[in-house]
Amino acid sequence: MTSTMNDQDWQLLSAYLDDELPPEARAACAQRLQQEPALTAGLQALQALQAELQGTLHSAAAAQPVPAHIKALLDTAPVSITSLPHRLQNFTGARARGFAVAASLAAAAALLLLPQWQGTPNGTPHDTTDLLSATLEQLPSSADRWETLADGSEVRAILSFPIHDGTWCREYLLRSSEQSVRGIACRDNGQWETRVAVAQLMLPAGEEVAYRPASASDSDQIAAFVDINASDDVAGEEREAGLITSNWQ
Amino acid sequence: MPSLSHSQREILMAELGSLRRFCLSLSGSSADADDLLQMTVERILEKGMPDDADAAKWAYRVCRNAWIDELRSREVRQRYPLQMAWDTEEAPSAEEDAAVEQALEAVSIALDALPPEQRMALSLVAVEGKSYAEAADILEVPVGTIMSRVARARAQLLKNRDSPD
Repeated sequence: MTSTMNDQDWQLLSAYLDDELPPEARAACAQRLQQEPALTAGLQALQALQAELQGTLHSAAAAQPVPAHIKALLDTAPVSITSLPHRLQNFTGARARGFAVAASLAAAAALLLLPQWQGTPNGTPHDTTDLLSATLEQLPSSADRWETLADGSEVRAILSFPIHDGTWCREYLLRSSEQSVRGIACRDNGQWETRVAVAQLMLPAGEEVAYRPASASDSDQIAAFVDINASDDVAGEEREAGLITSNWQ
Repeated sequence: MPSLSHSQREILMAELGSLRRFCLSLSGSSADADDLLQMTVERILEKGMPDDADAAKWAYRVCRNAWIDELRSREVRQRYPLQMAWDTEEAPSAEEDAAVEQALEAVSIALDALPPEQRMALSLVAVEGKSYAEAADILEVPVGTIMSRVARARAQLLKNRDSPD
């Protein structure tokens, strides 16, 4: 019965099936479908074909997930847990500066989520996020320097390192009067975007540092990010200064 | 070297399942689909994409180009069969579901009869549910071309089913 249909009819029905006809044309087509059995049979054939194509290909795709090794090519999320001391050992082996490591060690502490900074995906309020981004663009890493932001919070840049795709990332501490956040931000389109952040309490100056065990999942997020993503090359002082001057290019 | 932003990676990760299905509808087998998907992802990672690119559409375009390259490569291999001794067919996996594979093979044989440009348009619209405008954007042709390619592909499939060789 559909053999009487021409190319224009097939195109009309195909677009009707895909809901791609303008309203007037769709209404006209619907009217023709009520009056022309050949057209109706054609539409039914197209609908059956559509169901077969979708059903077969969707079932086949669902039967086998995307292979893990292909996902891994794009995955930037931490997939393994390692302790913070282990991560720092890796960095020291990768020419990390002594003062930067010392700062990182001195800040490791008991971890608590920071309620006032839980309002955004990055764990910091939007204005602080913007201020942090602008500060990380220019602030050299340091063991003891705190930069005061316009909202009263303070930030310390700890390390600068590239990840495998060449993007530069910086580990930082951000503290208010009560608590502190440790995070890693990476430069994306001129902005420093926090990839991972955990809240922690700062130990008083001079007090002996005590690490959380490796099962401290919040801290391990930082360690895992570095382990998975960092290429083995922490920027030295001169190189970092050059990067700051050249806008991290 | 160009690189992907974090957000572009996230979009691509979310799109992988659909992209693999597109690969499946083009290649007709799970093994070939995975190869095509991997080639697509590797090309994207190697060459990057513009900051303002729609990551999902970009990925489909790269996939389309990879598939066209593969078709050309197959033509060459078929022309010089002695050179493809290394390129043996993969043994079927024991884990593959037989019924699904059979149905997929039947659909694949039917789709093989279509010109590649019709197959790609049909896959995007009929399988992936893309609008004509989206498919036109991905394949970089006018919307009217998508409309006619999809219609001709469907008509051809029905014709072949009614009058098999």
